[in-house]
Amino acid sequence: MAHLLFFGQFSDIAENGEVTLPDHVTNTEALILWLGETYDGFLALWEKPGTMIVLNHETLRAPSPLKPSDEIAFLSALSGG
Amino acid sequence: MQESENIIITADPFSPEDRIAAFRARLKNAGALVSFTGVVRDVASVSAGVDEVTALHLQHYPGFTERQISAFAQTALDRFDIENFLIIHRVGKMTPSDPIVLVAVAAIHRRAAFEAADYLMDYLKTSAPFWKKEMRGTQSVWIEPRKEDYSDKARWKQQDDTKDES
Repeated sequence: MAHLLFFGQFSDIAENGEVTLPDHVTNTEALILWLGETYDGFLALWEKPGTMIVLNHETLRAPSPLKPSDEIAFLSALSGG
Repeated sequence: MQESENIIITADPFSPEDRIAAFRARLKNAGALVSFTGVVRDVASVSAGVDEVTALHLQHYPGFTERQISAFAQTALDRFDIENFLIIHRVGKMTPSDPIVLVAVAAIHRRAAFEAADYLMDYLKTSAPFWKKEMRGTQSVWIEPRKEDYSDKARWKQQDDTKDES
């Protein structure tokens, strides 16, 4: 099961949790599209400046393959402390 | 919550005075101790003036946030001649006047301590993985860094660029 986490504005529209990804969701690009179908407003938020994907605690700079056990976090623009 | 001796992210209220005293007790050679405490404001700047803030909710990404702050703090240790530092950051729900962040830096001489504390705060205000939501009456608003926060942080790069040119 993949562990999906949502922070900042993403947390207003999506819920953290363990998820069995559909068979076709094998990379981050497919995951983003799938989340866009699952959650209203997800893609619009994803397009905003400053959003990031963190895969197993590493910030991604490019699309990446996914494994079923991955932890994938979606970060909206940081607020800072 | 993950906790290390130098970087503490906590949902519990903390006393800056007690934490500074405990930090000071750990020091060996420091001749200067500089600290900054940020507190939750009770007003927010909005285009029409100001709004009353009733509460602040602050999120972090456990494990990731600590690691990012730790990596940046290492750059402060490399850049400034300091003996030690302490960063405490609240998360969760806070109300106006609650301490939200404490940065303390100890060094042999004051200049390094002042500059390192400033440097760490500029990073925390713009680039640390936190998300703040202000409660203003019945509304809630996600907060982003101000232009001034980014320009404050940019000063350090300008310093580096100037050094590279000279």
